[in-house]
Amino acid sequence: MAPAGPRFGDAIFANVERVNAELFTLTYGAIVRQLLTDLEEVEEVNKQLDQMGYNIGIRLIDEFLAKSNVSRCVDFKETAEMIAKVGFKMFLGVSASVTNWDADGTCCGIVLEDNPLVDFVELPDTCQGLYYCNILSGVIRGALEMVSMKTEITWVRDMLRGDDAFELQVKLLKQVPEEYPYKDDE
Amino acid sequence: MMATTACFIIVSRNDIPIYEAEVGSAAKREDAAQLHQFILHAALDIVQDLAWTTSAMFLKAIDRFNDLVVSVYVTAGHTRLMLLHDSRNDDGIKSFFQEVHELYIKTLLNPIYLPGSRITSSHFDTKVRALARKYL
Amino acid sequence: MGREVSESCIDSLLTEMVTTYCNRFYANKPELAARRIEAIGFQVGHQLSERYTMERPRFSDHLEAIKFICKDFWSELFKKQIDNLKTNHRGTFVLQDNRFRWLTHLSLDPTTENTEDPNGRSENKGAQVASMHLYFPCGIIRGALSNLGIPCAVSADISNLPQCSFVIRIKA
Repeated sequence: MAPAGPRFGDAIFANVERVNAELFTLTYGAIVRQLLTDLEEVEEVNKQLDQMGYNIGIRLIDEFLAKSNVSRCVDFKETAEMIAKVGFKMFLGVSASVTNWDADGTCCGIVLEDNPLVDFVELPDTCQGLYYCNILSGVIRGALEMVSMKTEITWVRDMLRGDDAFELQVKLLKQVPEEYPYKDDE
Repeated sequence: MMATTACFIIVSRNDIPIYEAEVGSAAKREDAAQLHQFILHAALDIVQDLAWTTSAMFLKAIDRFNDLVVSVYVTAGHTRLMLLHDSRNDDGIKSFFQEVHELYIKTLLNPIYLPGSRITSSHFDTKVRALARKYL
Repeated sequence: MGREVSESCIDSLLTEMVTTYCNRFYANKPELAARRIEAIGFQVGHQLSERYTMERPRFSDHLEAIKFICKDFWSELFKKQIDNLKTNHRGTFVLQDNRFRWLTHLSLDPTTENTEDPNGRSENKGAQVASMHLYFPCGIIRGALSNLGIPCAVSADISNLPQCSFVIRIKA
């Protein structure tokens, strides 16, 4: 198990190819707007963003494991810390924190105070009900599924709705420890 | 030293007004606001001609109406920020335009904002009025 | 230096956007998918051109604006300039990027290699996917120029990969 300190995430981020965040933020925003136009129903947009995130997550996990040199997180607690401290840092250049653990350690909150996805975003009244960053919950759900953790993820705080931070509640539904994330080709 | 009369509008490239505000310290009067906007719209033709003769963004005092003066700021995207004012504080007006331009770009960068559509953000409105108090 | 994110973020997002529109929403209507992808690019180009011209004087002619796209604008997006600019002086400009970033990553993406196809159509399929991806940067260029007051049509030519040429035809 590699050390999951915040500096560890910084080091990886410093070594990956990086691009202008504005391009990413605006591209994501333009996709959200196009989905709003095409799908009309805000609920449907939330669903599609989650689906897109899921598809990204199941591919991004390989890069995450390779670059972070993590063989596998066995423990859900450790995994949540890895996502927050290393995962967010490695891809978005910001770190998140983990809080609000429940008693049996299967449910926590991942808190994001600085979120590049929402730079410039202000939601009009017509977009009430939109989880603008829903792609993030999909990414985490998809990535965790590839390391055998089935989760349910919901937004409990959203700065675009006036909260002081973004918080995703990650609830572990099922863990299948005997499955490996990789197909064993060797 | 705040301007007693000042009317500010933003006009899209397609000549559609997308934001209007009376920002002077004088009491607001409906008929005055209409007259102000009329003067500003009438000055659009002058801006149109001038904008192609210079690459400067800040075009000061391009038109007059009694003691009121029209100053304009034209962005690279040909969005026009137009101010009708009675003060003669060019530096302040320039700073006002520059900072509103920055605000406008932030609005434009909001993915949910449709370019060329009316700016309805109350946040934008509050900021513009604060800038007017600061610079005009 | 402004804020940055990992390149994988934008690569994954673009791949997923193209997949969503081409395979999920409009599987049998590629022209509709193309139009949506172009529209997404158009919005981004429109926004970024206003942003990146903020501190500079207005352009006095088309060539000046095109040069801005080749240099400053491209550098912001790809950390490099367009390698070669050609024009016929009658409103057509060809912007050549010798190693277009979004295509080099694309060819490495295993999802675009259709190895199970027995009829050698996989290459064709790859080209289709690549051309779908290119609607996005074409939209960006069209959006940027349109914001600068230059209505135009933009297409891409990838007959010499990884080179990519964007052809801009300015509407009179």
